[in-house]
This record gives sequence, structure tokens and C-alpha cells, in this order.
Amino acid sequence: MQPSSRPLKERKMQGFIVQRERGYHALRLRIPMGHLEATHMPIIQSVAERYGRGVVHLTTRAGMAIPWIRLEQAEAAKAELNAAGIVLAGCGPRMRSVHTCKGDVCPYSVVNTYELGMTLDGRYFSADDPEIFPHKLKMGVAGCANACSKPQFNDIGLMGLARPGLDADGCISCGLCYEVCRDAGSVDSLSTAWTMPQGWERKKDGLLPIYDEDKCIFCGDCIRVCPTDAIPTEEVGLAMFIGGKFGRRPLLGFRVANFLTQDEALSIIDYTGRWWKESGQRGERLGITMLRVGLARFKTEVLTGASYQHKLTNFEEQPLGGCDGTHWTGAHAGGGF
Amino acid sequence: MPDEIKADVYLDLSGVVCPLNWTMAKLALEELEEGQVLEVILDKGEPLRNVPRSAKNEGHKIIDVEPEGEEQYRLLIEKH
Repeated sequence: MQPSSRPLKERKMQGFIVQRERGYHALRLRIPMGHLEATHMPIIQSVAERYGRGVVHLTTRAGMAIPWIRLEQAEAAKAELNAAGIVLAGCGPRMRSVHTCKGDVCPYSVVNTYELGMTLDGRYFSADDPEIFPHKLKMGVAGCANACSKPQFNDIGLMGLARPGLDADGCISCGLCYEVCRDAGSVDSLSTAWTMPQGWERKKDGLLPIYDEDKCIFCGDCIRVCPTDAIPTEEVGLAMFIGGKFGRRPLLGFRVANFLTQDEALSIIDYTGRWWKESGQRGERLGITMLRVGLARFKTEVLTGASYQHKLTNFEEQPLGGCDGTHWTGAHAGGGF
Repeated sequence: MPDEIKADVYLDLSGVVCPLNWTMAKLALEELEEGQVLEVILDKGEPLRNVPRSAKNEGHKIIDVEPEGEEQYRLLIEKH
């Protein structure tokens, strides 16, 4: 069947994105996590030159689209891409390609974002039922608290966390942990998680640094900088954001939990999907459903696993999930929705 | 740390931005024999966050850390 005879919605689901110019479509390529096989590049070039106008658009979620494909040639272009192992990525009311940072190679990352992304992709994007979620849903993963891939602006966001310890015998009181603590020197310089005790005069005098977990963003900078490796990684886990989106009325995802295991995070996504299918209204993004139904109810109905109860935040007690952008709560950005 | 450690090479990285500072330190370390010591002056902020981490990642040993005025640190890096 020629794409022109299909309804627009179906074409979007297939990865043919209509252009402003009548008769032209862009082919959206599926490139999970933005990992493009270099061997695919010549084929993409060839299709763009022969079917399109020799340009490729890089999308905001690290994907690719080949514009200027004539509708009647779209199936032929798609067939050539498919033959080379490149598939199109659907648009419309379904899950989009997983977006991650380069956390499989980045020195700051504390989790392998590519492997985690592949797990999410296999479980939710490539699952037999493409409409596993009732509406558009985006998942994003960041390898560390730097949050380069903006997991908070995804309906489901995961972010790697590292909890530092302290080996008192190995510490030489140099103060580098305090100096590099991410918030040191920022406007709110009181918020460093590491401080040096009174009497410390930037000398190696045997005084141990003091760690305040409540002020920690778990970025791991202190772990990496410690010259004697006296700050070990005590625990690695995932922060989870639910309900984020950008668009006309942006929302930061509600930071529902910290230091989840991967299995706990996947279980929460499963429950969230089921809940959203039952509770969501047509065309409603996840965060809006959560706000309409109520964050407290979402928490009681979805976040029910016994293993992670102590890891949950009090996001539901903050007005709109917390407007101050602090790291323990989700935050609401922008007025109304 | 014993105070008598003497550096074999001194490298002032004041005002040198990442990643050039580590590149320069790395080149200096390449010239050294194993066990010899490079002394570097690093600005607080990004350089202090990155250079010690890179040195550790490449297997070198940071054997001393000293403040240098209010805005800098002096590191002794033993080549490995």
C-alpha cells in the first residue's frame, strides 16, 4: 500500500513525517541512544542524495530525519534503508526513541547509559505492543547528576547517582573533596556536602572532612578527585523522574525516588504505564495526568513496591511537586498546564 | 607526607583551561622516568576537578597536595 493512501496518523506511526511542502515527507530514522553505526552513514547519505535533497536533519533527541522525500518514493527509500538494517522510528501516540548522554564512555558517568538505554528500548520501545503507553512518552537517561541529557524533561527520566564514603585511615586532609564539591563557589556556597572542620587551614593536619548527605547531589566528583582514593563509592543507584515534558507548558519530572536499582526502576515504569492507561485522558501527557489525579494518589497507586519504600521522596507533599528546583523534589516549571 | 620530596619537573598551569592543562601535564609526564615526580600548579574549579582525576585514571600517583595561595593548589604527581 502506498503511504499516500494511508491516514496521516498511521504514516506518522510508521516514521513518515509530513512536511509543510505538499507531497514531501521526512523519513525519521530510528537511532536509539544516538548511537549511529558508522557503516550506516554511506547508506543514509545515498538515500538522502538520491531520494531527498542531500541533507539530513539531526533531531533534538539525537535522531535523524531525511527530508524532501517524495511521498510516492517513500516506500522505496524505506526499503533501501531497511535492507541495510536501518529502520524508521514512529511518531504519534507511542514511546519515542530512548535519549541518553554519552554515559557509556564519559568519565563522569556512574552508570552505563547505553546498556540501560538498550534495556529500556528492548522492554518498552521494541515490545510487541507499540501502544504500551496510551500517548506520547519519552524516556531519557543521564549517567550522572550533571544531567546533560535532561532526564527531567522526559516523561520517564533516570539519572545515575553515586554515594561517597570515607576511609579515615586513607584520608590526608588535603581538602580537595571540599574544594571540588560541585556547589563550592556557587551562589549558594553553604550547600557543599563536604566541609572541612573548624581549625582546618588548608593544611594536611589530620582533620577529617565532614559529609552531609542531605546536601549531596551524588555526582561523584569527590570520589574521582580524592588523591588517595579515600572516598570510595558506597552505593550506585538511579534517581527517577516521572511526568516531565517540554513543549508549550513545560514540567520538570517529579523526582520520586533516589538510589533505585534497575529492577526497581523498571517495575515502577511498568506500573506507571498501566496506571496511565487507566487514569489518563485522551491526548494527555503523563505529568498532566499525575497533576490532575493528584500526586498523592499516584504515589499510593503506583509506587507500591516494598523494596524501595525507603527510597521514595516526599514529592507529593510539595506544591506542584516542588517549585524550587531543589534536588530532592520534582519541580514545576512554567505557569499552568 | 614528607616535606623533602623534590619534584623533577615543575609545570605552572595557572590560567590554563581544560583539557589543555591535562594534555600539558601528560606530555610532561611522558618525558619522565617511572617514579619521577611532576609538580603542577592548578587553579581551583574545573582544573582541580579534572587533572587529579585524569592523573589517577592513567595510573599515576598523587603523592602530595598543598594549597598555593587562596585560589590554587600544588600537586606532586609520581609517574607510573
